[in-house]
Amino acid sequence: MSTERYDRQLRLWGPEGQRRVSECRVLAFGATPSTCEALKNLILGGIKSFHLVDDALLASPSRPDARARCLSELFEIEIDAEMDSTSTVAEACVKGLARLNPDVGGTWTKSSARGSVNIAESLTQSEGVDVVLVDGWWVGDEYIQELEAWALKRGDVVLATTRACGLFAECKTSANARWVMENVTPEGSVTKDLRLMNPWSELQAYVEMKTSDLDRLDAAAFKHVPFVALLASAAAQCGTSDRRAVKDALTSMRRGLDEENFDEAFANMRYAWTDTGAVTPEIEALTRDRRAIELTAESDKGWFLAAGLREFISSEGCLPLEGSIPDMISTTESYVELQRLYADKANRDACVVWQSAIKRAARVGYIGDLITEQDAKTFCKHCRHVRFMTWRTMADELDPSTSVTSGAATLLKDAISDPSKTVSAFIFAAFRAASAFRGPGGRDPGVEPESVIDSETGLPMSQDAFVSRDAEVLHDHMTRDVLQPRGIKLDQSTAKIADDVLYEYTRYGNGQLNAVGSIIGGIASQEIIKLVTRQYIPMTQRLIYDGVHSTTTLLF
Amino acid sequence: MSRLDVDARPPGAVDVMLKRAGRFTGPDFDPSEDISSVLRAVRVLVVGAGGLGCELLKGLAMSGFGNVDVIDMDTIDVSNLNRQFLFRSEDVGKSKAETAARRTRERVPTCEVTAHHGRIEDKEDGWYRQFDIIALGLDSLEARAYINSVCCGFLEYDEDGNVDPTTIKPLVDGGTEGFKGHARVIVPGMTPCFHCTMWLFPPQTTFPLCTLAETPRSAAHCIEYAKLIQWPAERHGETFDPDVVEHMTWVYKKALKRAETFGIEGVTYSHTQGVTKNIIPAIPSTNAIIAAACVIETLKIATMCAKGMNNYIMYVGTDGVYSHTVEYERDPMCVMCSPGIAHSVSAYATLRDFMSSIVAAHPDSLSEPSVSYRGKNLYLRGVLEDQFVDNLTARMVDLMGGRTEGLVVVNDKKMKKTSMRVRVSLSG
Ligand SMILES: [Zn+2]
Repeated sequence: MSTERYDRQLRLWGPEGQRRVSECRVLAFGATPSTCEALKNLILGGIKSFHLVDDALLASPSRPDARARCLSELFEIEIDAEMDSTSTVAEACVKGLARLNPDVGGTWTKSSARGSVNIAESLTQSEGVDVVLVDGWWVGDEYIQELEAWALKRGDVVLATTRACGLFAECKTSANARWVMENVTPEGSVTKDLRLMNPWSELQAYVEMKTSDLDRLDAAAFKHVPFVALLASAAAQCGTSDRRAVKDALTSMRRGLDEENFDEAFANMRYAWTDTGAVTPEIEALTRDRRAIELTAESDKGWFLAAGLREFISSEGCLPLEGSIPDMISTTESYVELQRLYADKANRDACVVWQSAIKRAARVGYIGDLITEQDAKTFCKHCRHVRFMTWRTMADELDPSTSVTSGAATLLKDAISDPSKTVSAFIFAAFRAASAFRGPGGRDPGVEPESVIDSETGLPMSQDAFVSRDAEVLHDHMTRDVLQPRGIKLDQSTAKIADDVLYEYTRYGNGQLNAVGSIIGGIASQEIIKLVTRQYIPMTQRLIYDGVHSTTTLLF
Repeated sequence: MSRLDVDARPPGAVDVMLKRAGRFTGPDFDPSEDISSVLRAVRVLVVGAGGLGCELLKGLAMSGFGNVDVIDMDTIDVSNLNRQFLFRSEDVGKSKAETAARRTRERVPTCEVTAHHGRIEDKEDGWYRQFDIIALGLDSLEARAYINSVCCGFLEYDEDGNVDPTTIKPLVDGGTEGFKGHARVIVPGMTPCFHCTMWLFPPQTTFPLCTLAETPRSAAHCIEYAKLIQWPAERHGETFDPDVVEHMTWVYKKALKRAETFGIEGVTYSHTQGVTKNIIPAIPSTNAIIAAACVIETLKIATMCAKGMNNYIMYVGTDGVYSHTVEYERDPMCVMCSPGIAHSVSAYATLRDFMSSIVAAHPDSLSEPSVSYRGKNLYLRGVLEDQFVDNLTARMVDLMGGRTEGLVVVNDKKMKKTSMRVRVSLSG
């Protein structure tokens, strides 16, 4: 693995994240723009291997759509002299994709969607599978649910599905509920957890040392007293309840108006009261979650850390210290000393949490991954943002009767009546209706058969008439197969929007634009990277991309 | 052979979309089998052949554009290979523009891609005029501002302030940083230009020299000191080149030593590279998402197959997936793209009076202005300056042919290539 090659991404997820990427084996179903563009990004990122499944032949008279696909919509596709008309699109894609990174191996299988779970199972036996990437159109809504159920039973296997038609697309991931702890603090949100209102003893001593002889300091030294010491000293003098008094105390300490350290003290005053290590309702809820209380041998290690955090909070009355400090006017010595003071205290706090967690783990005979001190440090440092995330299953959203009991049907109904989500809700409905339109082995809406004849006149139909006819049938499917079973009725204005979306969907004739594949496959690959590195905050909802209005919307 | 049958590109998704009427199409969209051939004739310039540029070339070629040019002055580096997918290990050191053009042609033989290995500033303004749409895949603010100034320089307005539509050169711009990015469409004269929304770009943080020299507190302080102070002091006459490994190692070692002296942690070779080269983290997925959004907007501008984006979309992938489309507004006073800045002087004002009053009103943009009216120079700096000295004492009303209102164009080296449009009124 070349550090230089991956330098620009190592700066985001570090060597540990990259190690996880480099062990990742991806199984992809459907050689479509969306899956191939997602694969492209993963291969460039340095995954271990990929396996592509598709049964379309390079030259297939019975599947002209497949031929158009490989010639017009797929970029990384390579056809060499040994390949002939019986070779598959999957093979040509794998050859093209493998060029992107010599570290990554690619293989393929010629199979239809029907055999998906069997392929996943046998590949797991032979090489192993960590990620399943699915083109929703190619696999179909029914087999996706089977694949998802298979993946979730495998524990750590994650599934990502994409589907595109013209300027519309969707993406959803599935994974077992999991903790996210690393790189979860929003970028740019510098912590102000300085504890100036309630300093611990070492910080108190530091403040006293830096401010006791303030009057005798020469001008240069005076201007380099860190604002942390100035602010804490002012607060210690006049109590923490009266901000006005603290401000006045600071002002009276000044000698002139050109002391930048005092400017910093004033600028940071409000944080001294807002960020005090107080326990937020989110953390309260997380540490009091049933799973953090009823720990078992099989509990996720995050719950032991959450229990440790609960114990810390109940004895200290506040959160563990975050531990980093912002840059500030100071001499090098005073700054480095202060930095160490905060880091040491944060380490001590995290250690208390860790001890409590491993004590509990031992008590219940915990059998999972080792709970390390580093885990506790990461957990405590980001404890304001760590969370336990859950995903809806595909069946919750796709299966009409399950969606009623899971509440997804209501959410769809709400989205339809929310003007900012109406179009996206109908894009979701259009994808489902299109599956019903197609049926087994059938034609997709808007895809022209050999000839299109008007049954009344016996003449070839115009494009407009043909699209209108298919759009009407699609509309019937949406009403009958998608909306009615979910108990959704449309009013006049939403019905008009539905009509437009379905017409537009049909207009695209199931065309899969390479650029839309880049967007939706790009989003899928980004989510896969986050899940595989176990860093950043993954998307748990279904994303709808509307390229007409250039928007993304989260449903459910 | 890269295709089974290269001369016949079968109709793909774009062709189907273009031959059918839709419910969300833009103004004057006229569906026909023929639009695809129109699309092939549209000339697009891609500026930058890096992470976004590679994606733009692929996306444009796959969308049916058949006449694309690409300009970039850079050569390929190993650290590009994690996302600049048109390049391979064996291409390291070669021209980005040329390699990207060749690979795109190999994959999509129906697209003619012409490479220009060189600086954007070295091309004449007129060279940019030949393109219908310009797509930007850049990582620097300066380069964006440059292309923006060139395109805004093409704009012509009538005296009522209406833009001549034939002088508009649409720009599509993308930018990424890690998991975040933006895409925007700029129709100069109609939607905000770069200059209108300059505030979107935060100023770069620079460290005060006294901090670096006397009170360093972070690894970055030590690295900057090694580069800015120690390098020129100890390596006389040599220019620090971040691409030379020996130079980078030297700065790294000096910074590390300094950090150890002060008890500062965190100086690594990688961090030294990051600070001295101002490295922005970059991943293929974000580039793919942003560039494809730009490609789709380019396709909309060229065909009106759907309404265009208005006019800026931001994308954030660190916390779930979040995108937001914002309609930014033009700065009516923008010196780059506005029809003109209203400025009134006395009815008796001379050209000299006008010049000093306009400089006083816009000291940030002007110091030594040249002035023209209706394509005729009233005052020109430089070698020909002597010819115009007499005009300085002439009255504006006379120079403007007796009119008391008019559009005067002011140039100044402070504004580089852009002109300031001034709607002058002579009052009182
Ligand atoms: Zn402007």
